[in-house]
Amino acid sequence: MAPPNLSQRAPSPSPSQPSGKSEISDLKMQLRQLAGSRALGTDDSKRDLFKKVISYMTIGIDVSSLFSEMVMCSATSDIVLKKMCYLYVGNYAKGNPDLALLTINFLQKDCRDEDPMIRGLALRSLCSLRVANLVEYLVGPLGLGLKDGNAYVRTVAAMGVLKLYHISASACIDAEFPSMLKRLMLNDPDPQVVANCLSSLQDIWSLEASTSEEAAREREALLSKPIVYHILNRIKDFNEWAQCLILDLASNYIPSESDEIFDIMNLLEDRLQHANGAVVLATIKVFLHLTLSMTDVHQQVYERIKAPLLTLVSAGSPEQSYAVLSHLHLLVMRAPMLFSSDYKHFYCQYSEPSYVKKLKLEMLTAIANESNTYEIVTELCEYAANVDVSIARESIRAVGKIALQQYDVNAIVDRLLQFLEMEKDYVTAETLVLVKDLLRKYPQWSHDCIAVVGNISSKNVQEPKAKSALIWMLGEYSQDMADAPYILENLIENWDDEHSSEVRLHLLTAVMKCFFKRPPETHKALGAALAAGLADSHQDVHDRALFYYRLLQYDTSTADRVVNPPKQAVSVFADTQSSEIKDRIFDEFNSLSVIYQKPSYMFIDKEHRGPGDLSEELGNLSVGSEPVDNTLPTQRYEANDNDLLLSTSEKEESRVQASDSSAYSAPEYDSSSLSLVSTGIQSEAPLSVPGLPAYNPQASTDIDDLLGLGLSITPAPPPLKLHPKAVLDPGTFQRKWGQLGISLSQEFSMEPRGVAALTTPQALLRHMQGQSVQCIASGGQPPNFKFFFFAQKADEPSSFFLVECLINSSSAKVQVKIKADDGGASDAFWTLFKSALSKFGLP
Amino acid sequence: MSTVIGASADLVLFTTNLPGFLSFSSPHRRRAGPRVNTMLQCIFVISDSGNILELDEFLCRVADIISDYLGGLNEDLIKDNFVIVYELLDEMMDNGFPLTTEPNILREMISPPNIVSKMLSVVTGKSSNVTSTLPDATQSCVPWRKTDVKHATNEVYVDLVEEMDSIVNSDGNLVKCEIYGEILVNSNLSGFPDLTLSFMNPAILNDTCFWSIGRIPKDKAPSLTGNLTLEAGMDSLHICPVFQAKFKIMGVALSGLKIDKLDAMNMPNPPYKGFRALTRSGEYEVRS
Repeated sequence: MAPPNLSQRAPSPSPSQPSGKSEISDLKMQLRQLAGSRALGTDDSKRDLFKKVISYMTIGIDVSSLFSEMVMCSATSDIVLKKMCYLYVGNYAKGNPDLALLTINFLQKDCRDEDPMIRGLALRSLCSLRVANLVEYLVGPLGLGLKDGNAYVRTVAAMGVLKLYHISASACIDAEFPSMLKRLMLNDPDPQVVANCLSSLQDIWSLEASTSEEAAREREALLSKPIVYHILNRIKDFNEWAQCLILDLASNYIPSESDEIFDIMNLLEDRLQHANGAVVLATIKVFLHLTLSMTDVHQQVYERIKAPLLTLVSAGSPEQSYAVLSHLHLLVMRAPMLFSSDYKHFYCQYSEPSYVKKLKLEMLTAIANESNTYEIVTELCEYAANVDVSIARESIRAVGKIALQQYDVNAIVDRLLQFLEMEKDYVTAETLVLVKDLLRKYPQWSHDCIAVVGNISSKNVQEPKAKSALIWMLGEYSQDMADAPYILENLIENWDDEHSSEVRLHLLTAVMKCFFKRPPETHKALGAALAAGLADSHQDVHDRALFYYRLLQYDTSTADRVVNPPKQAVSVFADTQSSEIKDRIFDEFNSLSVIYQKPSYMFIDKEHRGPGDLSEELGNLSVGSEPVDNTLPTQRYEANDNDLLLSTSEKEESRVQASDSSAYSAPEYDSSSLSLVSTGIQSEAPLSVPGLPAYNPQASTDIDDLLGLGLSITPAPPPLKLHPKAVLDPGTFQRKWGQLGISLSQEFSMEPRGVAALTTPQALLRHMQGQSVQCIASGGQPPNFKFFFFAQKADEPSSFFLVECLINSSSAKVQVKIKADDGGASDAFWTLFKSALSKFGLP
Repeated sequence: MSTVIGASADLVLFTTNLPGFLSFSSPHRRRAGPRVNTMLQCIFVISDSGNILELDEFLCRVADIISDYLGGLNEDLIKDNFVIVYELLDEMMDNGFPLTTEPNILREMISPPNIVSKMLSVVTGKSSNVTSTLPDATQSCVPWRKTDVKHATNEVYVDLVEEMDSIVNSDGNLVKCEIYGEILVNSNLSGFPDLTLSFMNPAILNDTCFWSIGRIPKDKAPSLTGNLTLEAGMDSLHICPVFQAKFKIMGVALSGLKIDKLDAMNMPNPPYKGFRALTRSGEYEVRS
């Protein structure tokens, strides 16, 4: 009943609204006159005045000064007047606790009215006053309300208890309302009363549970078999919203045996046909969660819920379609074959809002397989000509994603190349980016693609991403494109017009690649590019140019190996979301988490999070108490995302840059010395450029080190030896883990045979033990494993290394965090650890 | 820029020109007719991750009911009738928990502001739009029906309404075709009869949904529309537009679904039963 408090806002100058105090004082006077009057028709004039007051209140004008007059006028039998008065009081009582006392009297009187509707309304208003020092007046009427003969009043009272709890928890507990609610919940004939009791109790017990053990037990008791069965058996009596509440309760229930699971599913089967989508989705959640441990039944559940879900998508409002589609997307990630024959349901209707279309495109991408790819891609190509540019772009991206998923890409590549001939800027731009990714995965297509890409004029490509892609292809396949060096030269001439640093970076790399393939044609362009790059104001561009310059100076063959390393085709593009997070989202089925595609802890403040939420993540590890930080850094995934856009070689380069940029300070160059680079570079002889500062061997070894070229001159540290029989008790481990900072955090990919051998955590444990690395806790199920290892220095018994190691066996990714007493040795330990891990699975 | 035009403890109604999810621009469900862009948004504030479809359904229901009461849903209508809107919101939600959303029951608690009730108030001198007694249905086990319904006529009409969604490609091929059906029942039966509707060929139904029985909106007769004439001198279109076709076929259910019989039990006299079938276009698109 409380509109948001906008009273601070200055009233707008609209003529219909009062501009100053005069209207309000006018109202005040009129109300006062009416307060005492008992003449016929008073109610009508009162009602007009009340309406005026409420309308001022609604648009944000502060009418709290009328409080006492309003209360004086509230002695009436007219129910609309009463309702307006309750509304007014509910809105302003919190700000005027003293005046609110005035209303208690008439509210309490109304609570004893003979009409149940008035009793209910009065009780609801009384509970909504939200004034702490009026709590004492609340307890009596609430107690009476819970025992009222009329169900409507009991419904209101049950919810009132929760309101009271929020105002004063102690008053609520002291009056023993929770136990009264529990009695009502189990015995009341009216389903709405039961539902309100249940929702109040759930809230109260889970808030109390953190402080009182008894409350925690009560909270558990709500999920006990007798209560859940009692309520589930009556589910058809409840209204649709209460059914959602009950289904939510049921989804948290853990059955003790499989018969129970089938009982519950049989009982709830017909809920899948309910007209209310909320009930259907809540039922689906129950089904999915109940059968998680039974793989066969789980698959059957997928088949059963398919039809209701598809009906929900097509039959409801666009908002509902969107929400349901998000859920379908989540499901299809877990069971890819589920919708593969129903792909036509995800064709976009022209009139749908674009947010629905976008999700449908994602669905089509996700369900594409050998049997339906042709139809889906044909349909997607229709959208490429769509009037809605963002959808057209999305659909081209979808085609590309399908191409990257499938083995049979013949037809798709042809389609993509046809897009390039459509001569629409955005279509060309999107397609170029895709062709680049395709070439990284299927280098065998380069011949066909390059022929078409070569015909594209770089002038028609403006978007940085597309331009970068084009430039990358020019550099990578410069030996196949006759005029690649000249196009690059052209682009370099317009260096200053190029605003995107990303494009300039790519240009530098491309021209380097091109140089090593076709030196005579490119050397001029390379010189110009390096000169322009060194003069560039963007730090990264400047650094990369400098790096290339020095690399060329050091040794051209090394430079060739750095810039043009033999490339392996990318087999799988990294998944941006860990499966751990996906599982979390699945646990939070039918909530906003699915829509946002992140688990609730990422978008909900700590104080609103349910208790016990945080411990779930580690619940399945074999050691109970876990020394882990629970918040996964979201940035990591974002970073991965960006990485996707860079080719492998560029990733190396950018990493070098990132870590190396601080290793030396950039000396000043003049452009006259630079022109010499191009002249001298034709010969393979070492470069000597007059005017350059003395060549600094230390800097170059740093670079070599980082590139792993094995030319290191720096003396190797004494080899690290680990104690073969290290001992550490879990308590100390936990304490140390809490105290020490992370000294090293690494990610790498595991050998396929290692992944294959990792069927159970124990296999790896034994292996690591043989390498003097002990495990203290492990857990997880395929494909996610989590280990905590430790190791001890052989010569220094007090120096431990602690490792947290996450292995995803499906993506073969390993994430390692190392904490060490001797932080300096962690690099050496990492090398040992990595080699130990990579030996895993060897015969 | 947004303006608040109505609110309860849990719900805020306001107008805005910001697009957003969990808010909708029109009360009309897809089945009810074309969406009107009124830019009225309904926002629900939640503190946990929420039961997403419940929120969505509830917001739709609120909008449906308010527009049913006020004959539309826009800023001015709500400002003119904010008392009724407050009363409705109050009954529909308590402390964030949905309460009564059945139109029939709400209608008994709070009578809608129509001409009849205005006339009535002029004639009788009573001007309250709130009945002073609680509706019986709050205690009945069938939430949408009050216990003692009495009708002068003893009739029941069943409409089988089907909508065809399809996409026709530029070459005339059907890309996708689906039929959704609803069965609308207009019942003027007194008391508490049990009705059983059976079909001749129920096997063709893919997925069924039991729709609750509410008021059938006044039939807005659709008509066949759309003429496309190219401007003189233009021989082709730059973009390929999508045409939407509208049609209505009386007397046929396109899916072939046939009603077998309607049994009425618990009735003193057998009622008059009327059946009708209708097919109309849903989202029927022709690509060019």
